[in-house]
Amino acid sequence: MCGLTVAVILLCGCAKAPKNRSPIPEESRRGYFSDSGRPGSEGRNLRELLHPEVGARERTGVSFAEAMTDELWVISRAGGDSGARDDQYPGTGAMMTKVQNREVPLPLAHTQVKANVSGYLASVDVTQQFENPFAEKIEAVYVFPLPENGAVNEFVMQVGARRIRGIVRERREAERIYTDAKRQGYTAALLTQERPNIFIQSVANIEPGKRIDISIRYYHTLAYADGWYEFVFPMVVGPRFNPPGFHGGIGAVPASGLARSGQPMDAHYLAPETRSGHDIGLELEVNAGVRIEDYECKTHAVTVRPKGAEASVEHLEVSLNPGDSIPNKDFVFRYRVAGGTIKTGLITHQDHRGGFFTLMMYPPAALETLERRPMELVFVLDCSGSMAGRPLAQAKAAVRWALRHMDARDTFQLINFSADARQFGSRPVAVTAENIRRALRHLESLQSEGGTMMIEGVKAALDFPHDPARLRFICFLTDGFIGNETEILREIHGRLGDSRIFSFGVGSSVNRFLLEGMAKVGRGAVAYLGLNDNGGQIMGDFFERVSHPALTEVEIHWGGFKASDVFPKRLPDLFVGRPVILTGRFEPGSGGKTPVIELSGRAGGSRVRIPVSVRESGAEESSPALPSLWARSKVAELLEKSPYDPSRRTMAQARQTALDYQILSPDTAFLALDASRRTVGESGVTVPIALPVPEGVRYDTTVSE
Amino acid sequence: MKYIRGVICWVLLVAFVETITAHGAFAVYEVYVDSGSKALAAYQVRIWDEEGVAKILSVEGGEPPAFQAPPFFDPKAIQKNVIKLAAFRVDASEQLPRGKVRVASLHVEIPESGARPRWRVVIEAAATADGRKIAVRASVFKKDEE
Repeated sequence: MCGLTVAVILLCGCAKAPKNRSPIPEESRRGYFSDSGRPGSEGRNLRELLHPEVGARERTGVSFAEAMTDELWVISRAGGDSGARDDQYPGTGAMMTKVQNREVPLPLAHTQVKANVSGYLASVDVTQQFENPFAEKIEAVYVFPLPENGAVNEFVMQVGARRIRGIVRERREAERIYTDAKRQGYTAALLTQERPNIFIQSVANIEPGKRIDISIRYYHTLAYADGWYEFVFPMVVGPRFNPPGFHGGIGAVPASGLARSGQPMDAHYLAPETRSGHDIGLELEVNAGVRIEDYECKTHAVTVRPKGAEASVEHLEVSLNPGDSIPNKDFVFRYRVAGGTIKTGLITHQDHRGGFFTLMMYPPAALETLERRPMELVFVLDCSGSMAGRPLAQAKAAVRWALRHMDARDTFQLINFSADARQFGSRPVAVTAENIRRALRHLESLQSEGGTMMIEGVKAALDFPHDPARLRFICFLTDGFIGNETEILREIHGRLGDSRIFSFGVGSSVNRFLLEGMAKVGRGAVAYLGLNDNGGQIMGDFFERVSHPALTEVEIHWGGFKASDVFPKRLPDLFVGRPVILTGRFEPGSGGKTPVIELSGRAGGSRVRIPVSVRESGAEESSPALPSLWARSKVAELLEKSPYDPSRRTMAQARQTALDYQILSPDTAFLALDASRRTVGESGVTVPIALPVPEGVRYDTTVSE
Repeated sequence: MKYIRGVICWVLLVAFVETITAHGAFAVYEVYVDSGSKALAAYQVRIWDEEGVAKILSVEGGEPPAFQAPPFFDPKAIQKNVIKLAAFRVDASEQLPRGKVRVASLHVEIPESGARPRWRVVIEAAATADGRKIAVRASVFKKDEE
């Protein structure tokens, strides 16, 4: 019945449309119906199409006795949400895009980002402004990225001046309620997590000419490497390749036309030379707490306003220049703090749930004095279609630098993969002048082509006979644009042995979840090589890192500080210049203000025990973000284990943790509903938000026609 | 006989269609706090449906400017379908509301057709801008759909 009504609306929509509004573009209609290719599935909700297993769940009643057993709740936060802007941003009023030489309106007008960094913790408010430029009611569906380690814990829908806070529920239940509300004409918003770094925002029943703002808040820890802190805001999901037979990914299809990838979810991409009217504004405040010596933003044009005297700047205000507001690449802002002031930093927070802490633990300086052993270096280049052009050129520049700077005691190998994997030598190749010349010629001959069968690259690199006299470091250089991340991580986990994996994300908007995961499972580290970076410098930093032995078999002795539930459970190797961030619970009052913590591990063949200098935790360093960050880490750890747990208990624990701390996870979703009024008619047509392909990525080699 | 079979089939079909299209009803319940002549700067209330028929889905901010931001709630309690709402402001007294004001609205689902929630409200705390505890009354009313 519902479907029939929608079909009738579609048939009549153009005739009814007021002259000052656009009819739903044919591309959007066809895109919506294209699941079956015929108007029989039109009444089905997109989420039902994506997740046919969605079903109603039994409501759990609550008794008075249960209600009375709740613990006393102490107010821990105050202050209002930042209000959304009422005015239109320059250039976004029309929200038009050209698709096949025709202008098509888009329902996402603007994204505004307000980030605040304190120490190494970031709190980020993202407001997405949805507007309906059509003559009919719509549902907007937007596939967008957030940092892979972000803990999303606030969700507010604004309808006119009214602000409605969403509640995290089990995902299936949230989807069921959203579908019901949408069908009945209520305005509702649903936020789900498809990957740790990919989310879907669905907003139902946006009436013609109306605007609905969705505000999300998330927290995350900043990356730190080689003296620089790095704040990253990802702006677009790159087109993913899904290997044949894999059906759990995210497809990449054109914004116009009928194409469907066959994956449960599709991202819709704009053709070359077209762009969306969607733009982005970003403001960032950095309170480093120590003197900032230098800063840079190579990805975007920004205005930076340092606060305080030049010699002692600790505070920066950064804003994205309006001329650089196309959301087609990651925003990366880096700053370097005074070297001598870096110490292992402990930040704590206490509330009615107990104590939470995060510890950024720096490798002991003693490591820098130890000599390294000979290495076996394996360079694995992604030569798939998405790397065509500048990304592959950047990857080659980095490997070229490495080939020219290896030690005579080392050996090396070059592996390239796309539809299959190929290698330069049949066994580890000695570092000789002749071999290096040949390898450089081989490197230059590599071309990008075909799909991203990364699994072949992983197998080729890890199954390759190992030289026990050398430490093996495998360097993956890839954009990570694949849909089967879990398969790749599982393969690495099963085949790693004594190898260490260093992943290099190459490009403007790489899959950071995969790259971080590869480095974590591979017990190495990650680095990013942007399109404007110097490939030799990035590889040089890696060489510097591995030119000293890592601290392995790391253990922490907490002393009087009663720490528990510390994540990650298995501590990674500590490399020079690369700290590790731990999050955990602690017993308030234990350890005093300056806990004495000791680190032990194996370095250069011998066991060492090193006291860690922990900076005093002042009141200003208490952060309400910590419970969410701790819960996010716990969920991540449980989900990593879940593929090996047939009882599915870890999945249930992860879901419960997400519910207890109101954070998003694969099994939970934020739902906000305005039940005050029904919009006229049944649910509207679903309009997917068209995305640009990331800067430097070719549409023709990545998007399935 | 053929006629009866046809009728049965029709009834079954209608029942089937009803089943697959059955959905919950949605409603809004407004939460009021009455602080009398005192300026209300902070409140914490616990609300639940004694009938257990309403499922709380979202929380909207209130009417007075001081409480327009949607209040925070306790994540543990909400899993038992109990909402503990809290908000506080540090505005000057004259900017704070007095008397009976809507401080929040609950957007709920009532999955069972015809069921009516019976709300119970417990005031856990209320205070003025200078932190003095005050006695307030709280109530919940159904809002008519626009």
